Amino acid sequence: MLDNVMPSVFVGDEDECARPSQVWRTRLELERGQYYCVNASSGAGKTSFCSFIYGVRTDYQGRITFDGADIRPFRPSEWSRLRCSNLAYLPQELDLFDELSALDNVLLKNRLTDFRSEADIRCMFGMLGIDNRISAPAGRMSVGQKQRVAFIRALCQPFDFLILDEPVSHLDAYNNGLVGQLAVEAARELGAGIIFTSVGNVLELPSPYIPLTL
Amino acid sequence: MNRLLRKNISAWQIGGYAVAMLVGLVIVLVAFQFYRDVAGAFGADGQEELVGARNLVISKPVGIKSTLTGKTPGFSPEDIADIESQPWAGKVAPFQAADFRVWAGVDFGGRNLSTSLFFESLPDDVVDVDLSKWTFDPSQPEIPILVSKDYLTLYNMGFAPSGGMPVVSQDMLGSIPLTVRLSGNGRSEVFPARIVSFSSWLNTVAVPQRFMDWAHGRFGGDDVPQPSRLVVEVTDGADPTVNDFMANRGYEVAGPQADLGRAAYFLRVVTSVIAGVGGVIALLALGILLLSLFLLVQKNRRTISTLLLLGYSCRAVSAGYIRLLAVVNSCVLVLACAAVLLVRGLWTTPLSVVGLEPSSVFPTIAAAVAVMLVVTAVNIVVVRRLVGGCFRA
Repeated sequence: MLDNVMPSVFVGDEDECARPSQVWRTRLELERGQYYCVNASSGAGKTSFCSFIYGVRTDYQGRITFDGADIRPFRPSEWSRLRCSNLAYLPQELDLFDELSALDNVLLKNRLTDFRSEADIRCMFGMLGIDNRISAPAGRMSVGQKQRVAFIRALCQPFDFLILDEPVSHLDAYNNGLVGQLAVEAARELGAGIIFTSVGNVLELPSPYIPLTL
Repeated sequence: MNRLLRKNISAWQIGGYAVAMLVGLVIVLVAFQFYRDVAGAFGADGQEELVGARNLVISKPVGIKSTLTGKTPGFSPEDIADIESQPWAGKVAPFQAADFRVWAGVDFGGRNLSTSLFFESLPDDVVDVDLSKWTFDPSQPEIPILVSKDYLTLYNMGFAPSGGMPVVSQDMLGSIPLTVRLSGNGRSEVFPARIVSFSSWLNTVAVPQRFMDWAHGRFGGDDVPQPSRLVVEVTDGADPTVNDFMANRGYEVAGPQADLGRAAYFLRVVTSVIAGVGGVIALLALGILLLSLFLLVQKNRRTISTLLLLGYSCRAVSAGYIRLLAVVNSCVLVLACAAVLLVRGLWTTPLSVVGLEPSSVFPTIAAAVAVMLVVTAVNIVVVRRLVGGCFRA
């Protein structure tokens, strides 16, 4: 639940923003099982929105709650637990370790959660068409390939919400569809919700989603 | 994960820290062990403890006035109260001199030798003698006597060779029966006596207080003379203010005690300075390490942030660094203890040659373990704080 939330950096510039926002300075409840698309132009605060929910940043006004609990005072240990079992995140910058192979990058997360078998992971690499690059260092992959590796990594944990920050910005329509399909399958299995942002190339989900304007 | 975190670790920085910490710790520990060994060595012979409590025998100087009046300068009750009020002073015990005449005689293989003598007494708890032998019963009067070791030496080395007399050992002299004649107050009586002990620090011929009280009543006058000498227990033998006090009041300290105090003070100052230098080196080493850790975490900030973003806990991320530091600190500890044992060998042989037992090394090792535990605890806190600082973007 976002209650009257506003990025601190936008405070004071609110008058210039004539359009009403469905996220900032309002009451927004995000529910498990629902899919939300935050589509907005650059600089509107899409990444800020994801970072606030994932606990990476706290430079906002207002209140964000998980099942009624204010997340601002959460300690790092609490966030570590949430990031292993409740919140899955694909950051816009991908945050892969260039010196590790694609598989090792995914295994780094999976070792923490022990959520998927290595065979499952290799299968997902195959489904997304990057099984031939599984041993390549991430630093030598294209942005599109990296995006798919980071997406597989995000699925290597149980979650209530899968947060995808511009997940398909460098993918073609075919791979976009595959990512959407895998995301919905994983979310359905867990009864979880999906929150994804887009600056133009929208993730194609096989199910309806709720658009949110910033 | 550890492979990622080990990136940017500088072996030179960690090695530099280890060497500097080792040098600092060894200096501190060697100074500590040396102080304990040498200070303990002075305490090996009776009362002469270099540190801790020890007894001083003090007197007032004899001047022309004393010679003219024929009176030994004594300590008044005010003088004694003054000494007792000093912060370093423990018990103050007066020497009580006999105010009756004493002659002692000994039968040396048919040759009868007698001499005019004197007696002094001290409270029983001050005299270092087996108290079961230090009694007096008027119904079976045998007087136990304690004699200064110096007197025996004087006899054996000076008097006996020049007078054609046999030299005697402590045991032999203790087994020779003596006769003592006491006279005064119109009486003169003879008692058997025996030397029960020799003292290295009491420069007198001492008898039990119980005997002295009884003899005063029988042979002495009415007025009790002021004590001419005092045994002062000093709580810290190395305290330099004791010597200052004695000099200010014009009191004389018997024997080498004053020098001992000065030596103890000097030893304490020197070892403190050396330990201080070692401590500064160890602190600088710790500073180098903290700076290195800060740089390391700064260089690896993105890696650490990403691991935390993936859900790794601060504790898990810190663990690799903490393990490395624990291993380095353990090596420093083991090497420092080994170095202390090695260096200690340099002075244990000379000390054992003069018959002195060095003190135990375990307190020093315990101190080393305590120091390295504190250092490691500081390391752990700093690493966790630095890693925790990477949590927010």
